[in-house]
Amino acid sequence: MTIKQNTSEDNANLCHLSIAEELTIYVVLSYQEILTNYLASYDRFALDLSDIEEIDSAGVQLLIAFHQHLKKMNYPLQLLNLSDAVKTIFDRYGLKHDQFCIPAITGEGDEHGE
Amino acid sequence: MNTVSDEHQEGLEIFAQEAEELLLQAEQALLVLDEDFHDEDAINELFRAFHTVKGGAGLFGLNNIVDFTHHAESLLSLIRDEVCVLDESLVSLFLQTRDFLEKLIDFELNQSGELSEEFQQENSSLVTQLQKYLPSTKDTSADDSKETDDGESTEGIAQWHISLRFGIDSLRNGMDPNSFISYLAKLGKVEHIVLIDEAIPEWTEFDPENCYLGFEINLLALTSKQEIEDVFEFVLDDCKIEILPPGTLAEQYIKLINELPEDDLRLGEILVACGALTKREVDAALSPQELSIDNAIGQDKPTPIPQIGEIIIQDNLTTKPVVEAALKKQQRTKSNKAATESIRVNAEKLESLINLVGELVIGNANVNIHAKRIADLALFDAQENMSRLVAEVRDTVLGLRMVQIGETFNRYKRVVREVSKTLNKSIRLEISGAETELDKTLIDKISDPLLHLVRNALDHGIESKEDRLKAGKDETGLLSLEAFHDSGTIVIQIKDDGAGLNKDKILAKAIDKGIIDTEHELTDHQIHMLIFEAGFSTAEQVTNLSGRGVGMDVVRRNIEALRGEADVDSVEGHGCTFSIRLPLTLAIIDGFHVRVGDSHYILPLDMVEECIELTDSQAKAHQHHDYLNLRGEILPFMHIGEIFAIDNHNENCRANIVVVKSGNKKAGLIVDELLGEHQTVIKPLGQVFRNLKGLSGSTILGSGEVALIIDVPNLLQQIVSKFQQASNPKNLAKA
Amino acid sequence: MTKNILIVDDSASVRSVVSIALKGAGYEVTQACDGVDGLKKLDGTRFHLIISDVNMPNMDGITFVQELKKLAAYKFTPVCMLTTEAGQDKMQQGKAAGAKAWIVKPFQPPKLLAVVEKLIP
Repeated sequence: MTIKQNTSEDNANLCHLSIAEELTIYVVLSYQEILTNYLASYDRFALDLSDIEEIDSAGVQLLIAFHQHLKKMNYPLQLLNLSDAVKTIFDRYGLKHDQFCIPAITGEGDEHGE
Repeated sequence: MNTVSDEHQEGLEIFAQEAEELLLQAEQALLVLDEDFHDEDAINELFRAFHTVKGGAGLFGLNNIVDFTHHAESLLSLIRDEVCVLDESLVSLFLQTRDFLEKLIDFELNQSGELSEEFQQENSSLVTQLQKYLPSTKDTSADDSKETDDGESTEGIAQWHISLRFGIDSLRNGMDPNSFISYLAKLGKVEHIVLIDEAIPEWTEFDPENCYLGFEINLLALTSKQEIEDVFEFVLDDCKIEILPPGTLAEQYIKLINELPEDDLRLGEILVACGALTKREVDAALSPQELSIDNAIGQDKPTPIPQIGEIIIQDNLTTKPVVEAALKKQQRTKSNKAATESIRVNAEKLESLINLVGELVIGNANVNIHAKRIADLALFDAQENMSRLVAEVRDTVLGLRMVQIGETFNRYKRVVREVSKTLNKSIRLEISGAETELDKTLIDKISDPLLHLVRNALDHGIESKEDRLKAGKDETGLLSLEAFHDSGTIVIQIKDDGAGLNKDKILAKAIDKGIIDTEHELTDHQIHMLIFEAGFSTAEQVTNLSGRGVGMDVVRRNIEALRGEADVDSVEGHGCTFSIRLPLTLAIIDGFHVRVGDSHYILPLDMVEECIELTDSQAKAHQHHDYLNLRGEILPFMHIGEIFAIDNHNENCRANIVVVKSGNKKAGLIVDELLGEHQTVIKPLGQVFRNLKGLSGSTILGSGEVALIIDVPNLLQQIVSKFQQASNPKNLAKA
Repeated sequence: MTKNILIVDDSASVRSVVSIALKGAGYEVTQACDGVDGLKKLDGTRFHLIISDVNMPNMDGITFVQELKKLAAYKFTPVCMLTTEAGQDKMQQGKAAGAKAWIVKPFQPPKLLAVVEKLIP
């Protein structure tokens, strides 16, 4: 699958995942399953989006839904290193690049920030 | 197989042709609008023309054209939506815009490199003028997102609010909101967009292939409702879309809030964020003290909840029937377009087809001769049939080149408009016979001489307003262009109701210039015709219109080069009529084959009125006259053999007279033998014979012999004038 | 990223017009001459849009869309049908099969491009 976990030594509770290549309707169902599985062991998540070449509304919607879910439990979702594809669709939808980040750790993602 | 760049080049050529047509349409629409600022069809036509040019240019990355056209298009969309009203100065501005666009397209397609400074200046000057009419000083072009919103007042900007709730299956169907919103951004600037995520369920309930998304969008654009609606045409079925046009009352936004499924207060905030409403308006409408929202918006009945899949255009100006009527109309024009579908053919291919058909006609004539010789009945029948088919093929092929003259006439509308402005004259143009068809080559070649005659009539013919009033005429002068068929020729007339030709002046001038000597007694018509002589110009005052160094003699030469004839008729004080008589086609005609001595001649069949037999006694009776009495009419005649000095023509034996007619002139031509109809492929005469009067070309007969084609109008001219000179009225009375 | 478009039409001239227009606008275009060929040309490639005629030999456009929607890798791909004014019934069938977009023939390149841009972000 296209998700890989980076072990995070300083924070054992943080699940650091990296999403590869594509976050589209063709794969959102699989990602939902994967994320659900991780939810059993983690409650904080950081998603690295730097490798995403293609993302559609289904992908954005998945991120929002996941974010809403974590927010209900007062856990943050960090989106890291937004790729150009991600930035483009976020801009189009009026989503701030650090929309989901508490606190903002967005790397170079602020470049286009409003 | 073609490479992409070949295809690109091919596409560019198609674009160039299309643009030329569209610009012509734009011009015509503008001229219609010049007379009626409210003509909806013309406004739509004009908009479509600019819009399509822009679209086409976009296809090929011609960004200069796209950028420039965009401004005109934006303004036109406002005019179309009646936000802005056309007036005379705007029509003029659009005409300039159109002309510049023509130059710009020509430059982009045929030249390379940067636009010259002059070009850029004209460009920006026009853009500035166009923008003056736009309600906002902001540039709303799609690619101008770098322009930041620095808290400028949004008042006056065409601000649309679009509320979208996508259908649950949108994503599954491949209808990604992302595409539509990205497309929306091409119509204008998405000023604010808020993603509505309230409908996304709990993670455990969440089906990521469903679409739960909604958007509230504030779009700054000079566009129409239709255009926005069209963006979402593929998702209308299962999405809830509301489009609130610029100037929508706050009450309607409040109503929208109530109709949407999301929390009212949250939506209120969003609309405030979008700049659609002020906080005060939302508070007032949604405050708990208000017992009923309906009261707040001044309505008694609760508004029905709109059905999903229906676009509700909330506009108190546009009622449903209006929208429906507009839609119907759109469809009508669509089906009209389909009916007149056409294929473009390379002119060279057509030319070679016509040449081939010419050869086919000659070949067929050859077969015909042999069939007659062999005298086999079956072969003869087959040959008859083939001749008929060849004639049909010939007519059809020639028909391909026939175009209506109306388009050419329409071009002069612009000339009339501009010249009358420049000269401060009031002139009305009337066109008739626009549907008359003429060979494309002829039309191309005639349009310059025609233009000259039109300018001439406008400049010298029609008097100034004051002079007209003094002469007891209507202040508005009339110029009429007329085309019609007349015995195998086409006649184009340029008629004005101006001062007419001044005979005395013409005479004086002709004598002065040594064109004629004082001895000559000339008829009125002959005097008028003097203006076609070389070195003649009647204008006392050389204006910037006539001072082009082209005299009427050039016009006449051009017309004669097309085997045509120029004529003028005038009544002093009442106007002047120029007539151009042209052959229908330059390539193949139906001819009438005659023989004189050993020579063969072809007369254009359309000009042959009848054939009469001249008996010996008749011939003798007329031996010393050159006219005869045809059913009470005086018919001058001549022997072709005499005209062309053929020695061994048969003087004594009974001869045939072919009565030919052109315009109002009629004469008889004596020939030895009538050989019947002949499909004649016109071949030009060699350089040596180019200036020979009375012959217009040659052709090759089936037998391989050469036949000369007689220029009937020219020959008639010779015969009739000779007849008039020879027989003065007194003699005629005796006869 | 290059956007791939598949055009399925039995008319070579329609294919070529579509192809010229879309290539000019920077898209990659694959051509197929009927439904069967269309399915064959998919070949695992990611297509961002499929444009298909309705009436074609071997396999018509409706069947083609139905077959396409059975394929996991293409079931979400937007499909645009080329219809005629008279083909309203077919258009409804196409919609039911999952082809939600349409272009009415005859069309000009700018119209085609507008539709494509509405379907590919």
